[in-house]
Amino acid sequence: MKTTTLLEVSKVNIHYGTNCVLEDIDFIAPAHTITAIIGPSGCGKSTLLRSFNRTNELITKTRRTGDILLEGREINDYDPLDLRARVGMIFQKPAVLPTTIYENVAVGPRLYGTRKKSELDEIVEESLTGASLWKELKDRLHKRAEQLSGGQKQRLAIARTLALKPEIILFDEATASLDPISTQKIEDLMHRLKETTTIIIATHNMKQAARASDNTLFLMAEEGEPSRVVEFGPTELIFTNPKVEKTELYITGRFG
Amino acid sequence: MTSVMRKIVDRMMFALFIFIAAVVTAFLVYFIFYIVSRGYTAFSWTFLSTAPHGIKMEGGVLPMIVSSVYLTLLTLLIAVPLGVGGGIYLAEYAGKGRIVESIRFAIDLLSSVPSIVFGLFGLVLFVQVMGLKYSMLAGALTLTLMVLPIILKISEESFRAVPDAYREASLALGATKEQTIFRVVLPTAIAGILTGAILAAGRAFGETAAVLYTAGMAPLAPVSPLEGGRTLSVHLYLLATTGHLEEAYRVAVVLLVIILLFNLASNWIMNRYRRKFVSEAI
Ligand SMILES: Nc1ncnc2c1ncn2[C@@H]1O[C@H](COP(=O)(O)OP(=O)(O)OP(=O)(O)O)[C@@H](O)[C@H]1O
Ligand SMILES: [Mg+2]
Repeated sequence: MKTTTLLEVSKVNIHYGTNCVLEDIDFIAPAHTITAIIGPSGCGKSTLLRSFNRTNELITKTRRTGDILLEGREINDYDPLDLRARVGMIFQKPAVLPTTIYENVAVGPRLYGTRKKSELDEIVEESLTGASLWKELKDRLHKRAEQLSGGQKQRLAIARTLALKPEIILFDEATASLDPISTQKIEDLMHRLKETTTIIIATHNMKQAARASDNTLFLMAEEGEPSRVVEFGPTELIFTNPKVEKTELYITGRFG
Repeated sequence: MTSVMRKIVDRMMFALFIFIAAVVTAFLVYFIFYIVSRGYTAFSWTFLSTAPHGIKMEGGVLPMIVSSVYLTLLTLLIAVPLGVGGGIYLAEYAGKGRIVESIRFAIDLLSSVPSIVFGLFGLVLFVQVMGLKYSMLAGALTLTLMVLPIILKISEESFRAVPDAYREASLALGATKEQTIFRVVLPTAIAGILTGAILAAGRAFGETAAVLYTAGMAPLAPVSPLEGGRTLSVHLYLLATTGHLEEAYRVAVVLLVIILLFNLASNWIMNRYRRKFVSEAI
């Protein structure tokens, strides 16, 4: 496995209007690893994730300073649409579009101009296979996607992202609304996806962070201040031997 | 309250609701029965397929059916794009500022203006000032003003009902805001938009006061939008006010049946579109 740095975040500050929510964020995500971002509610996990595919700027007035480098190149220098194809995102609420399973996967490639049915068929099969859904769903491709279970919907959202062959996939509390078995399936899937992509997850579930990730980034704010990095390092170390007392208190659930 | 008491109250409320429902239904059945019993002779091919003639307006209502359908479709053609466009603006682009609030206020105000006021306004603006004369176009523009708030409100609501998760997912795939609106939000909201359009069509079809002095009263089937015509409801009004009650009931039956067909068609379309439209549009 290569260990090149895929995403490098340095000295990043993010403001909403005049309100600074994240300050001086530094960390790296090596290729083919899973990084977990943990921290109390409202500390800016989602904000940080959304800044990686530049969807934050679509939502509200927001300003980001510092560098976010994807393969060594500042993400603001990418075409935003190209960037969003390279950096996929999965949300807490499985976003299944009110259409067929097939179209849910094909929507991305279609946006980027793929029209040929044979090509789309191939992408759909590949992506569903990649999301461990092909076997379950191959006979129901043209059925409505709303009928799927929560876990299947979330894997369908992953398939939709995979259809664009992303280099990074961001998971924003992607298992928070799922049962333990579905959660397990998604975690297994993340593990397999490491072969082809790099993953960053935001999670409230400490066990998940401990189980699934290679590195952990712990964010937290002092009262009335923007959030900062409290600790960043290999997950094993953070969970067994944290350097900062706050980290230990947070992951053992004693505050935050 | 004891649980026995609660059960009794429960039962009584249930009985009360059943009673109210029965009264309303009985009233409706009586109403329809009464009209149909007096106008059932409308169910004749000659009545539906010939023009009226003579001083007593004997004969049929074909030109009126044509005028009504013409006017309704023309109204929808103008009002739906405007209303849906406005709905998109209000739901997807407009913030919360003063201006938007005053737009909303104006829309609410517009929807509570009596239709005769629209009729007079249309008479002055479209018929006289713009020189459209009594015409389908003048009538349709007047009706557009009248039904715009319905379409606008309902489409705004249906856009707002589209979960943000869809927008987020679409934007995260790299779709632009416009692509997101046209490929994800609009198809998802289509059932609501159709509902709005059908409600609007129902109002336009049955409207009398707003079209009397804009689309005119000429008992001829219009061909071009610049020709006038007499809608079924205007015809009904004229017959009733000139004492031709038998004829009036027959026209009322035709109106009722067409409106029934409207509703059946709309249900059918909505069921179909909800299923198909989205998958093909995306
Ligand atoms: N669109 C927005 N406009 C203004 N402020 C925002 C916006 N979105 C988030 N914030 C603020 O930014 C801070 C971080 O929010 P964010 O949603 O990123 O936190 P989070 O760590 O993901 O929280 P949670 O764990 O509850 O999902 C919060 O104080 C929030 O109020
Ligand atoms: Mg969040």
